[in-house]
Formats: sequence, structure tokens, C-alpha cells
Amino acid sequence: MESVIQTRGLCFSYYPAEKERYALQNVSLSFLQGEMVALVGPNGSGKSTFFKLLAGLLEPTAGSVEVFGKNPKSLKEEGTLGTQIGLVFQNPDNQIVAAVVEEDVAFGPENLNLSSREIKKRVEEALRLTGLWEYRTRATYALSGGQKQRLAIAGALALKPQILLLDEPTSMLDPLGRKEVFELLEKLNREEKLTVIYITHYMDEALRAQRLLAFGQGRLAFDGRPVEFFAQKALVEALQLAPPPLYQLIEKLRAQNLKISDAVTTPELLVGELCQLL
Amino acid sequence: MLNINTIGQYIPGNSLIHRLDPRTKLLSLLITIVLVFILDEPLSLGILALGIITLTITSGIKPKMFWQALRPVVIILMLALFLQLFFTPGEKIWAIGPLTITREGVINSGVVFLRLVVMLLAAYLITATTSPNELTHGLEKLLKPFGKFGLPYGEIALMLTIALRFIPTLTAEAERLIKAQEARGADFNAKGLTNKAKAVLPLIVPLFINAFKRADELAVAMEARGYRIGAPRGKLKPLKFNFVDYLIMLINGLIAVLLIIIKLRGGFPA
Amino acid sequence: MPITLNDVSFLYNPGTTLEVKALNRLNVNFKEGEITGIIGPTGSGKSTLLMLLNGLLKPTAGEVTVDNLSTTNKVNLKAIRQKVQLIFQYPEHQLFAETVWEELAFGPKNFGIEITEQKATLLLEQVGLSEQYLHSSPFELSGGEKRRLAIASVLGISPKYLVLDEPAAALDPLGKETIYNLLFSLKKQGVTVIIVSHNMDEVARLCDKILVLDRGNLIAFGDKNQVFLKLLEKNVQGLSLPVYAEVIKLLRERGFNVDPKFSLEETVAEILKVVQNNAKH
Repeated sequence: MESVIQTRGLCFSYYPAEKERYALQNVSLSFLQGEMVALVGPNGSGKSTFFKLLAGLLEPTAGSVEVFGKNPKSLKEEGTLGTQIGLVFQNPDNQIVAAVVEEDVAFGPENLNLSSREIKKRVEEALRLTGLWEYRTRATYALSGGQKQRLAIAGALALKPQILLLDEPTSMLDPLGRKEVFELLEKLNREEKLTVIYITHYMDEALRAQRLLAFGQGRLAFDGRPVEFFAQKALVEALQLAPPPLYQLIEKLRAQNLKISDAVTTPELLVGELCQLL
Repeated sequence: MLNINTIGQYIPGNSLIHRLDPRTKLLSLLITIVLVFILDEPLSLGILALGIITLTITSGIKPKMFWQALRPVVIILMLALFLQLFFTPGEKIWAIGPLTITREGVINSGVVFLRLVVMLLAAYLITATTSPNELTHGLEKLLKPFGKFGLPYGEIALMLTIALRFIPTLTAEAERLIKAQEARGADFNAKGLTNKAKAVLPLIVPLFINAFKRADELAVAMEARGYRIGAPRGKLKPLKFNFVDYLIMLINGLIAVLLIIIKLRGGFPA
Repeated sequence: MPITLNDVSFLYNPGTTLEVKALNRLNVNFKEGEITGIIGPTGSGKSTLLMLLNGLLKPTAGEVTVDNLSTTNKVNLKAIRQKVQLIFQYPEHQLFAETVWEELAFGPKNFGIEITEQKATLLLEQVGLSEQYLHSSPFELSGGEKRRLAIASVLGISPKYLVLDEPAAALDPLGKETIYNLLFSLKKQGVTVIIVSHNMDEVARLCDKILVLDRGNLIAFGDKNQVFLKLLEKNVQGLSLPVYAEVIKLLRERGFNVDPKFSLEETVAEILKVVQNNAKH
């Protein structure tokens, strides 16, 4: 499988001369096409800095980051970053440019100076993928939080990136919105084979990723499967995190000799397996 | 609820006027305004007014809406008429007490009345039949030729679009902020100028700071979607003139030329 | 009774074509010294209810009283607002002062209370902020710190009742914990706390009582466990349950005889009971 993002000895500091004040130190890893990765860690742990470096919003102090072999910052300056990596941020309102849904999705393709026919095509595809086609002529102001965030994702998808990079996409949403958006991300990863990388503070969302990167004090503290991360209690606590309630329940049940597989990440899946055991 | 369509009195519809290219409507409005100032006798202005009224009827917008739009200016209108009617020197027609109505007065007040009515109706007709987004697109296309002289027409249009999109958002935020500060005991009904100025700080400062934060985040999001200042941009729905647009422009042109010729030849035969 | 709602209804834009009935004939008594959680799907009237509690909104019908003062009577409003402090969602958006101290002093000053440097330091301590910040600009603080400053800025008024809309919204896990601890400590000091929350696990953790709204109607009000029990039986569209209760509910739907529990240990015990019962067959 192809590596889509590669970092080598990636470091960042706002004060490069002071060795102790590095926001991010020495991160070397690759992301492969089709992965769904959760980034977790307390505030100040370096995960946001890592995000910004991947997104071309910061230039590395040392080391390198490459997206499809190219430097994200220069892609951004060319105006083509969005065609490789789609960025989605925390506040749905502050990503919406236009007053009408389809016009907002068109913003990206318009920036690429595509033909009107191609723009229309991409707008329709993106809206259908995100379940917003019926809302295409609605006022963006009238959308719910979940719909607005799906609109932001549609706007990113219209540039046809292979990677989606999201910074706490659900933290300003109500439970219904969170569900809508997260299920959309899972769908895009599963069906469209998009690489989805997201920062989250919700451990139940982290549990549902294939891979988890945990940051602490500017370093990468863990890179592996979410269940393995939550099994390391001391580390989880040191990072001021706690395993999601569901995970704790599964752990206790396993301690009582119930065989529950690692694939269980939602209450529905848990009950499904329990029923099979009985 | 304040949204993009309640600003500028836009009323969605499917009339001929609604379906015209916004540039046609903007240019027609421009021609109308120019004519209004050039023409100075009631008959020509009356013809113009008749034309506008015919158009408003075909737009399907109820007269009630027009009246609501014109209501605020009725006072000014009445005052202007009054002044012209009773205070223009000239050939006396009628007198009541100290007030005299002259022939010139009647003509002048007729001109004033018709000028105001034509301008207001025309402006209202355009904003009622064209969505703010269409107006922005039309304006952008019309300003494009000035791009050669360095006018950032694309940026201006985008700024307008974004401003319009954020009006309801910012309005709601301001309302919430007022409530939050009132809950803390802030009193926005303070008397006295210095008190009022101080009272308004808890509103102004957060609004500005939050607006700047929004702008910052929005700029990052826009750049992430490939926006670069000055770079050429495509359009989802490019504006295209239709046969009807050309027809309307032609009719406008003909009427304008006709009325100007009449004026130059000294007006209508009395 | 400290805060009561007597047959309270509220309509937005009454008498017009845009009329919306936000609350329908609510009868509620909030007891002193408890933490009550108000839950309900989006649009159920939660925010409207909060604004009725401190007189920002007056009921269209019925009466809201705070310590026997009616919110409908203009004369009472100042006194009521001194007792009931309402903190909106993302309160950090209302910060405006030049220094942290000034921000802490603004609210109390409106009620004739002076915040000395000493008092300000105590307030900062109460919310876990360093006294070093006293002369800093509020805007230098981090997101979570700003949130706590906003809360501290009303604590100087010494409200009897503190009402908060989603107090831990969009905070990281540590930030959330800090807010929870703050609310628990306020309860210990005798402050009556009322919160609105979408986070069921948060509500299960913090609250003594729960009030459930659905489309303006009061569905349930009472002890936490009793209300969750009721929600298990009566499904409210758009409202989720704490995770453990969700698991129990799904098991019940499959025909298993399990009782709803809300703590980890009890839920595990319930599930094991089922396993053992079935193993016998």
C-alpha cells in the first residue's frame, strides 16, 4: 500500500534557539492510503502543531513533511493543496463562504478556475456524497451544526483530495451532529477509500479508528491500534486521558472470561457479540 | 429570522423580470436614474413612470409590498411636494390665505413627485426581483472591464458575498452577547453620553474580537480550498444574456433616446 | 421553594404568523443545593427555559418565582439577577476588559459589589487560575482558562443559583474534568447549580436531578436514576442515553431480562447475571 504522507525527523519550535521549547520533536512516520487515524493528546502535546505542519500552515524547524512527495506549504502557495489534502476545522460557521449551499461547495472548484460544467459536476458529486444534495439551494445560515460541518466536508471533497485532515470536527456539534459527521467520515474512508486523519478529544471516536497516534509533551508517545493504546493504563493517564466507557465495560467483561473481540467499538456491536455468546 | 433573502427586500419569484440577467436590471436602473435627472417635465417623466409601473405589475409582486417599501419616504415626499407646490414663484392659479399655488408650482411639484416615485420604484423593483447574490455577480461582471485599470472587481464581489453571508450570523451573535452581558447586570439604557459609551464597551470589544477571529479562521479555510488573491476564478453559474435581455436593453435604449430627443426639441407640444 | 415554575408557557412572536410555542405549561420546583441537569433534543426549549430563570425572558403564561420574587415584576429583576447568574454557551466570547481583574470586577460592580485585589485573587483560586493573571489581558489566556475566567467573573456576585448552558462544551478531557470539579465544589459551598447538557455521561456523573424536555413539554423530572429508567422505557426521539444504559436497552430489546444500571460495576454485574442464567441452559 502506498505511503501518502511521510514525515522524517519532523520538528517545530516558535523559539528554535531554545532547546526545551520545542512544540514538536522528531516525529518520523508514514500514513498509508486508506487509513483512518485518530490523533489524541492533551492541549500543548504537539498534536495541533503536527496537524498544522501536515496542512502546510507551518514550516518545519527541522526535518521534513511530504504529501504525495511534495512540501505542503509550497502546494498551498500554488493553490493546489486542496487537491491533495482536504482540510476541515472545528468551527463549522467559520468555513462557510457563501450564503447558499451549492455556491459554497463551488468555491473550491471555482478557485481552480475549472469550467462551469466541471464545477457543476463536482458540486453535485460532493453534495451527494455528503447527503446534502436535497439542500443545495438552501441558505447556509439555516443549516444545523451537523449539516454545516458536512457542508465543510463537501467543500473539501469538491477538490477531489485523497486525504482528509480534520481538526476536532465534531467538538462543537450536538450528539446528532456528531453522529452524522463521524458516520460520514467512516463512510468516506470505507467506500471512497479516502485517508482520514482526525484530531479528537472524544475517546469513543478514537476507539473507532484503525490507528491511533498519541502525543505528549511534543513527542509521539504511541503509534498503534486504539485498543492497544487504552490497554496501557499508565500512559493513558499520563496523557490526561481516559478510555471510553464502552472500552472499560468490555475490559471488565473480558476479566470475567467473556470472549469479546477487538472489533467491538460501539454498543450495537457489543450487544451483537454478547448475543452470540449466549 | 434574518437571512440572505430578507435583506434588501428580495422576494423570490418566476416572473420575466426575475429571470432577467442581473446586469440587464442594473444597467436599466442606471439608465433610469440618468433619465430621471435629465428629464425635467411631467409628461416625459410620466411616461417613464408608466413604464416602471407596467414592469412592476408583470413582476408579480403585490402592490402591498411596494407600499411597505415606500412608506418610510412618504413623509419626505409630502414635504418636498408641499414646498414646491406652495413656494414656487410664478403665475398664480389659486390662493388660500397666505398660501399661493402657482402654475410653475404645480409643474415643479409634479416633476419632483414623479422623479422620486420613479427612482424609488425602480430601485425597489430591482432589489425585489434580484437576490443579493445575483446582484453581487452582476456587479462583478459589470466592473470587470475596470479590472484593466487595477480595480479588484473579483475581490470586491467576494467581500460582498461574504459580508452578506455573515450578516445573519453576526446579528445572532450580537443578540446573544447583549443577553449575556445583561445577565451580568450590564445596563444598556444608561443615561448620559459618557455612560452610554462605557456601557457599550462590553458589546463592541467582544464583537470586534470575535469578528477578527472569524475572519482569521475563514481566511485559512479559504486558502485551504485554493483561494489566492488575484488568481482567475471559474463560476458555478456564469451569467449569460438571453434574447429577452437584449430585447429589454433595446427597448430601454429606444425609450431613453426618444425621451431625450423630445427634451432637446423643447418638450412635448403643449 | 427556591425557584419555581408555575404553569409556565412561552411563545416566540406570539400572535404573528411566526409564532412558535417553545414551552408548554411547565410546573417545576428546583430544590436548593442540588445539581440539576436539563436534557432534551435540540429545539426542545432548553435555552428558553434557562432564560426564564433569571428574568431575561418573561413567561407568556404562568409565573416564574425565585425565592418568592416573581420575574414578571420589573421591580424584582435586579434582585433576581443577583441571585440567579446565567452563563451562556461559550462564555469566553463575552470577555472584554483590559485586565483579568477588571473582568472579574465588572459583573459585581453592576450589583454594587466591589472586587478588591484580594477578592479577585480568591475568585481566581476558586476556578483554578493563577493569581499571576490578575493584571494580564483576558485574551492572553488559553481557551479553557478563558472559560473559567468567564465563570469566575460572575462568582464575584455570589449568586445563590448558578445556571450554565453546556459548561464543558468543546473542552478537552482535562478541561472538562476541571469544570466538573468546579461545579462539585460550588455545590459543596451551597450554590444551587442548574446545567443544560447534551452529554449524557456528563449528566450521569454530575447531576442529582434530571429534567427532560421534548418539544417544549416536560417529559420527566426527578431523581437521576428514576429519570433514566423512564427514558429507557419511553424513547425520546433525538435523545441518547449514557453508554451503559444504552447497552442495557439494546439487550432488553433482544429479549433479555436485565435491569438498567448506570455505573460500570453494576452494568457488568447485570450482564454477568444474564450470562450465568443462559449458561445453565
